[in-house]
Amino acid sequence: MGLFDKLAAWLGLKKEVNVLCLGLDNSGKTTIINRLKPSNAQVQDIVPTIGFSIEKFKTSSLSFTVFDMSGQGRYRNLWEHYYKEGQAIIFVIDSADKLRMVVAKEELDTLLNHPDIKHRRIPILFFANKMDMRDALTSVKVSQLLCLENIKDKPWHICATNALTGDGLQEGVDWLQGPLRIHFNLLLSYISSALANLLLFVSLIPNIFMYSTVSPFSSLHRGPFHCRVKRKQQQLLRYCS
Amino acid sequence: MVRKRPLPLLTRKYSDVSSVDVDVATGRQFSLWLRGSSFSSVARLRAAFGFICRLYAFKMIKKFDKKDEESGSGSNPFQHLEKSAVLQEARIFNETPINPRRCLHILTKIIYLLNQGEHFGTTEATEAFFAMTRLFQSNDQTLRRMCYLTIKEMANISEDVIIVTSSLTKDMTGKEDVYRGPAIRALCRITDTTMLQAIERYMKQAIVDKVPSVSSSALVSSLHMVKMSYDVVKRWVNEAQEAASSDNIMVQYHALGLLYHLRKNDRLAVTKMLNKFTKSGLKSPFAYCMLIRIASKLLDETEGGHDSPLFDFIESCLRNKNEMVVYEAASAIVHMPNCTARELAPAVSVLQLFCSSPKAALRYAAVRTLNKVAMKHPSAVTACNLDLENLITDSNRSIATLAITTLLKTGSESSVDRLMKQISSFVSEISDEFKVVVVQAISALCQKYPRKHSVMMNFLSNMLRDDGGFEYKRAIVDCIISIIEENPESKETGLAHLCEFIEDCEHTVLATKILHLLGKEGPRTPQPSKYIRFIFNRVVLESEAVRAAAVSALAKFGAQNDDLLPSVLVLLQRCMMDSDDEVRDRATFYMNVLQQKQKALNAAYIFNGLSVSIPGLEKSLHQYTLEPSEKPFDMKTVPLATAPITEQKTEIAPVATSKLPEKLAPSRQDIYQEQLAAIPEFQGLGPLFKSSEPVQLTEAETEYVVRCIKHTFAGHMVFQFDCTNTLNDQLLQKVLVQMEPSEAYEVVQYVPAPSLPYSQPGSCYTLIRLPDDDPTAVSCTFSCTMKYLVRDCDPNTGEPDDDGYDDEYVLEDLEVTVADHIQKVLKPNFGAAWDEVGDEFEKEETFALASVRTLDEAVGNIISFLGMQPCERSDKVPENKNSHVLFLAGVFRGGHDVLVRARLALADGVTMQVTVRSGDENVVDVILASVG
Ligand SMILES: Nc1nc2c(ncn2[C@@H]2O[C@H](COP(=O)(O)OP(=O)(O)OP(=O)(O)O)[C@@H](O)[C@H]2O)c(=O)[nH]1
Ligand SMILES: [Mg+2]
Repeated sequence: MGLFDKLAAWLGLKKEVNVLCLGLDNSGKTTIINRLKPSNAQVQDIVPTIGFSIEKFKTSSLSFTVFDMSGQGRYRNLWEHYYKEGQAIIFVIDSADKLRMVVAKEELDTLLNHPDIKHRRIPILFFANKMDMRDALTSVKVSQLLCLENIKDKPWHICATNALTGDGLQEGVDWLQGPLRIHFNLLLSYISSALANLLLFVSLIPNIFMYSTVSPFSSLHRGPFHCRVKRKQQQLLRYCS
Repeated sequence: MVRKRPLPLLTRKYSDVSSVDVDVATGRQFSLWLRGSSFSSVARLRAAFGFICRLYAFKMIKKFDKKDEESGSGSNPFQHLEKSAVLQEARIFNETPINPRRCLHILTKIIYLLNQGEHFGTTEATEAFFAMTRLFQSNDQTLRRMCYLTIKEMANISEDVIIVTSSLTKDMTGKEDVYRGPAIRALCRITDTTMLQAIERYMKQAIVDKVPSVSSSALVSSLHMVKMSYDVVKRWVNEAQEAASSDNIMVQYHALGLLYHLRKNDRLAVTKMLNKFTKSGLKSPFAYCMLIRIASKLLDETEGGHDSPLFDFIESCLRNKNEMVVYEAASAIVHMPNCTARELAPAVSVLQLFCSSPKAALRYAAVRTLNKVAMKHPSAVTACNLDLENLITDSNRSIATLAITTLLKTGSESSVDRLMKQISSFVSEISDEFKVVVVQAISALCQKYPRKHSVMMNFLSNMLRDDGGFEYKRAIVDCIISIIEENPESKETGLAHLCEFIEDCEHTVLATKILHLLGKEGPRTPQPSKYIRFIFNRVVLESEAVRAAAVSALAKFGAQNDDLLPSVLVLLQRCMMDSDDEVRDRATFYMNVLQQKQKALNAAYIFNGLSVSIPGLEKSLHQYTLEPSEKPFDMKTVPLATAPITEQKTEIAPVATSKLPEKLAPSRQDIYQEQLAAIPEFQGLGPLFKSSEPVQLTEAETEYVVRCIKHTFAGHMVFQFDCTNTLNDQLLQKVLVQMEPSEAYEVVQYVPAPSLPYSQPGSCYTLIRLPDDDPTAVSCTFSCTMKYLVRDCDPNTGEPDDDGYDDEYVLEDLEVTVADHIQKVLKPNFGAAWDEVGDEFEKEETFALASVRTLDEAVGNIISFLGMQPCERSDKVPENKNSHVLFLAGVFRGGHDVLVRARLALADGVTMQVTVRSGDENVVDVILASVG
């Protein structure tokens, strides 16, 4: 356990991440999520999702809560209700379904332009699924068709997967942990620096009180020391703001 | 103040065979209870109890509980909730991690508000709903179950509720048994017919699940789905059948309920099912009770004799081990229409036994049942008199009230005073609902012992002075009115009591009703002037609806009593300054009519008013404004109101016109008018004049069931044949009924029913023209044959063969009589109407009715033969009289008023002198010709 992890534990923060799993119907979203769950929680038969369902799985350092959304046309407009709290997106593409690649692109573009997503550095993991199918496109081809190179302001990654065997899934999840941890660590370092400032501030309170002008003895103690404290106060204030 | 949204009355559920699902209804029930609606207190308490129990299940309530105990008041922790504040709080559903305790609390608040009838807009409801869906992340059991409740409550007000379908299917098939049942119930609330196919597999599995709560939930939910998607649920019969043999009493009961509802339209299948279960026996007493109800319903429908095996079954249940079953059987038997004393005896003795049971519930059930059937089986109930006497002092006031009122209904005239005294001693302690029971008993008593009316009237007027709700007051007022109508000598005291009552009456409906009565009866009393003060006080003190009713009543005094006319005109003058439009309009109208001082005008516009159908008038006027024409609007084109409705309408009219026009439900005839107008062949027939009651043209148990409704228009008649095909291996197509008239009636056109699948009723029509050269040809006999194309089909799938064959089926003859040409119209003041029509075309003839033995019988015959409306209560022949005058009023096809006065004398058969008046000579001839 690193220092930050310890600090996190001490602060009572758990490393829980909300992930949205999006993509067209029949692309294999539910199958993928099912694969990632511990083997005793996996289900045998998978049916088309109606609405959404919430699934959970853990990796060594993170615990994921996945919103597995339904990909059918009439439910796609319901995705956006959940954009706000998603901290990462898994976007699944059926790489054997060339015909609907444009539809997938359209949905992706709508997603990327949504106000709740547009200005956030939210990591997106693309699964080019069903790579086992005979006429499946490669992940490179898929990323070209979806124009993924245009995504500049968000970390993203694509990998080819086979949800039936689980091939490629681990690679994707491992990648996802990276940006999420950075994200997470940034947050922690921000919290810890704020905390350090606070400590400093608190430790100075007696001094401030003692040398402030309202002190009845203040006139007796004016001198170089006084100035130093004054400067330190100013420094501190600048730092805090 | 919380705004109330109108809610469906779900309590009905408890009284019929389908009383299975308490869960879904409970929330609403609770709110209705809070609104103090008029349900039986048992249902209300049960509902409230159910809801409170559920609230208690959530731990956070405890906190409030303690507080309540400390403060010592029963205050409601949710009393001052603000919807907007609660919805604001609901934002925390979006936060991670989820705080189950706080979320629970907020969900409770939302459900509470919904149950209070608080209105949620679609957008805000949807927002809250989607926020709630995130709570499925949490594994907190209580929170999850609260989510199910919220889903059910919001199913109809939020959009896109299907978003939770997968989450619920997951819970329903998951490992947590506590989730599975509730998840099924919630899932079925958000599912429509198309989605149902997707969850069908899970439903089938759940029905036969070995966990009772899961199986029960699935069965009950299926029952709800039957209404929506009968065809899908029908496919689950095998699973339901399996569940019906479950060891769990609830599962068995629910399964039986589902099976019954799937088959209830198929009498044969129901009979088979009953046979099967009565033979094999059941474990569940609830299921037994339901079987008894099904059996007695079937007996009732088939008019099965009491030698039927169904009756034997019910009787055998009297010996069941379980008291509930025994009671159900006894209650079923005593409620049966024609039971002999011998059949009744065992059931009554069971009830008698229950009367002395130590269990209050059993005593209550027994005495309530006896009370209900007291008028029907007085001798059987009298047998229990001793036990009932003992119950008079029962510590449970409800039981005591029922016992006393039962005794009142059956007791002798001499015991009335004693019992009334007894009941006055605690009438103030019992609830409104039981007070109504007391009033009903008094009402029955007055009919039986008219001489006792002064005691009763006294008692009623005292009750009228006490506090009480609307239902209670209405029962008293109705009772007083019926006493007045039955006993002319009680009229003045009765009216005086009612006058006193409206001096301080908060119920608009009652005040207007009484004012209407005063207007009708007051002018004909010896001293009409004394009512004027009471009526005019209303004009000064009350709301618009009451003021308008008072103005109408005043006008009637002015029209009838010449010496009061000047002062009435002065009072009306003052009403013309009223702030309300309706009141001013009425005053102005009456003022102008009265100033003409013409009897005929008074009769037409003040006493007897309009007799048209209100929705019909509205439609005609609307039509007239759409197609402006030079001609003035013709009242004759407006369909008439059917008589009983006229009577009601006049009573509620003041309320309706000023505030709630939508309250005027269209009558049966208005509905027909609409349906017929939608058929292109019947365009241009003019307004529908009259629709007859249905006439059966087949026996009850035949292959095809056909009944006919005769619709009369100005120059045509339309026969509507409602046909049902009871053969499940046939599909009928191009169905029509061919008619051969005996007279000069001409068949113009047939409108066939395109297709008639098994057990789905359909209608075909025949249009005929009435002979216009001979207006007196009013009766005709038609021989009828149903013609159609048969396509045999598979009874299971309903799939028909490719080709079919023509076939026909002979129906019974159909008669058109004079009654089909006359519409009943109630003339509240017959004398005035008689003068108004005048004697220009009056004719009189005397007949001897040799075969008739009593005046009652003669009166009944004439009324049903002519199909006219008896006025002035002249259809009731006073006892021990040997002469009587019957007044009948109606409108003949074409719009002419027709009035009949029949003087009857009893002497060795009945002699009848008939006088007919009408504005048209032909009509007079027709009537006399058909009577002769
Ligand atoms: N050959 C192959 N089939 C796959 C793969 N992944 C999923 N499938 C199949 O694709 C079908 C659809 O999978 P789902 O997981 O239900 O798809 P979904 O994206 O959840 O679909 P919706 O819930 O309707 O949005 C299933 O029959 C899976 O067995 C894969 O990698 N290879
Ligand atoms: Mg899915």
